[in-house]
This record gives sequence, C-alpha cells and structure tokens, in this order.
Amino acid sequence: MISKNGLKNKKFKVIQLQIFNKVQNQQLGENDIMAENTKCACGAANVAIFPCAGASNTGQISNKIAIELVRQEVGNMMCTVGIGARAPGLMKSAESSEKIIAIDGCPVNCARKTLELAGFNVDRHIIISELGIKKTKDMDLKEEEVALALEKVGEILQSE
Amino acid sequence: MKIEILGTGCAKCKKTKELAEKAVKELGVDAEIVKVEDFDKILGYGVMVTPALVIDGDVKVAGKVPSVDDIKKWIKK
Repeated sequence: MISKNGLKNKKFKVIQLQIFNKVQNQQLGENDIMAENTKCACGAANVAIFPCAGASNTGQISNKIAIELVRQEVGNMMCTVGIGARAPGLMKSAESSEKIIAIDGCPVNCARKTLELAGFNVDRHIIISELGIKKTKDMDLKEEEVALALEKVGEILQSE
Repeated sequence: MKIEILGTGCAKCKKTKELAEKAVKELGVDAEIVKVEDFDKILGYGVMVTPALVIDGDVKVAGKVPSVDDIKKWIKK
C-alpha cells in the first residue's frame, strides 16, 4: 500500500514547475518513452503516472498528457493495464513510487479505480473531460485540445 | 536458483547486487547472480523503475534497494 507519509513533496513541487516548459514536438513512441524512462530510482522523482488511455478522444489525450509529463520529467509513465493484470513488475514499480498520478479521460475513472482496486492510493487525480474537452469517439486528436489539456494539467499539478 | 539484478549500473543497483551476494553467502545456497543492464530485458519484466531484483523470473522488488533480510526471505520461499 502506498502511504502519503514520507513523500518528498518539496522535490515534487520543484519538478512540477517544469510542466510549463514549451511542448516539444518529438515524435517518440510510447515504447521509446518507457525505455528511456526505465531508469534507476537514484535521484529520480519517483512519481508514477497512470493514464487511462481509453477508447475516446479524452482517453487518448490522457495518454498524450502522460507522455508529455514524462518529457517534462514530472515522473515515470506506467502501464495502467499492467496494474489491472497485477503484472508483478508493474505492481512492484508502483509500490515503490512516492506519489501516484492517475489521469482519466472521463468520469468513469477507470485508471483511478484500477489503481485503488489494486490497493494503491492515488495522490493526484485528473479527469480530462472536466478540463473543458468534450468526450467523443473521434480519435483524430485536436492539437488545440491537447494543448488545452496540458495547460490545465499543469495548473492542477502546480496548485498542490 | 537464478537471481537477476535489473539496473543500469548506478550506486543503488550495485548495492542491490552486493546485498544479494551477501544473502546468498549467508544462507549458503547455490544461486547464480546476474546483473541485467539491457533495457529490453528490464522492460520484459514490466519493471518501470530500477534497481529491481528478480528470483527465478519473479519480480520481488523494483525501485528501491531491498534489505538482506528481505532477500533471504524471498530466497527461502
């Protein structure tokens, strides 16, 4: 079980400030991001980011936001479905995280519920459809919506 | 028994390997301790943060240095 005790909040806040950095237009895939991000916990923020990556525009935006947060060095993106599957590597990685951020596309809250059902406490929960973006089945993401979501997520994380 | 230490070679990864060697020595068990630095292999275990320790294919810990007692407990199971 993840406890809030002993969290390195000060360090986390410093890292959060980087979220307003200019969005980079790198075209790395998720696997590239994960490979880059499988790093030693030495000195790492040790913040786990779990997007729902659901079958909607907002679900896919949650994924894009998670990738961007990795680029901003806010934390490590992890596989939410791996938690649902109770994959040992994912479970152990999440257990060692000092802070968990769940990003859901809509109020069904699959990412947060998946984590909670596995026994994890979610420290920050973000719902993309509550940031002024309407949930649709259109998977061709609008850049302005992604930018809006990123801006709002940055505000939310900074407000802590 | 095969004990794998997943990590890129930083201080915590090296410490984990040292502790695993100590646990094996103190228990007097026959175990092969292998350092895994290949990202593909690390990702293959679903590990997102290192150091991690794997015993016979089962991930026991990820993202922190375990204690010798923890390692001994996992070896005995």
